[in-house]
Amino acid sequence: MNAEKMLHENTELRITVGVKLTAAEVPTVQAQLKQEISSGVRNIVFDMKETISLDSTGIGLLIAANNSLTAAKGTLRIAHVSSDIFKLLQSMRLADRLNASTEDRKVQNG
Amino acid sequence: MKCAADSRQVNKTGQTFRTVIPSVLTEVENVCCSVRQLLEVNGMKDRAFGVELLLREFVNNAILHGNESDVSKCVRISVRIRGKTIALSVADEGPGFDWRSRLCLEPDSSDTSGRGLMIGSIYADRIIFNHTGNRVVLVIRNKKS
Repeated sequence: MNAEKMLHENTELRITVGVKLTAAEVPTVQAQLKQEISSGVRNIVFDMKETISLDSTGIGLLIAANNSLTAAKGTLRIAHVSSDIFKLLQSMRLADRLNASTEDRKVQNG
Repeated sequence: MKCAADSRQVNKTGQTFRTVIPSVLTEVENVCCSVRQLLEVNGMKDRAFGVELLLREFVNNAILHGNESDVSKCVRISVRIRGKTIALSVADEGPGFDWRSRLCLEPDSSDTSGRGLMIGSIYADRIIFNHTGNRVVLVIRNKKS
């Protein structure tokens, strides 16, 4: 069963994505995300250490979250991305935009 | 056409998989699972990510856009392995679409949708639509990454 966990850590909300972030899972995650952003969360990290499947709907969710957070002067990053998913994001020229990393690197503000 | 959710077939040589599913997104996972097994049996486990991604994109499109999530409409899927080449076929019961103009479009980096065909062009060596656009064949050849 796919399960996302959300945990507030200092100033960041860490969302541990389940095995899949695809069209079937996105509506549930999207609803939870909207609630969190509405309640004032501004820094989100999607932890994909368990994630092996990501499709364009999942990518759309990440972009939508990034758009919302950027507009609110917040940050989004994606941590522990698998090499396959990292290559997917790179090939779509989204790896830098979404601050994706195979590790857990915080966004450098500058 | 009535869709049988459990109509998965693998041929005798274990190199072809066929199924017909209703237009329900939760069915996609079952298809991906079966195709992963097919690839594993044929020593192609290392190609599973790309094949599964293509399958998800085009089956999702067939369900959501082709059949407009009408559960009474079906999606026909087949996966064939010939040597090191994999051919995916996805067909829906919708009216089709203008794929010729869509293939050239690249979404803006802030767009939240419209990346399915782009993924197809990156992960498949050939994308072949029928005239109306309600059936597509994707050809993936083996190449070193």
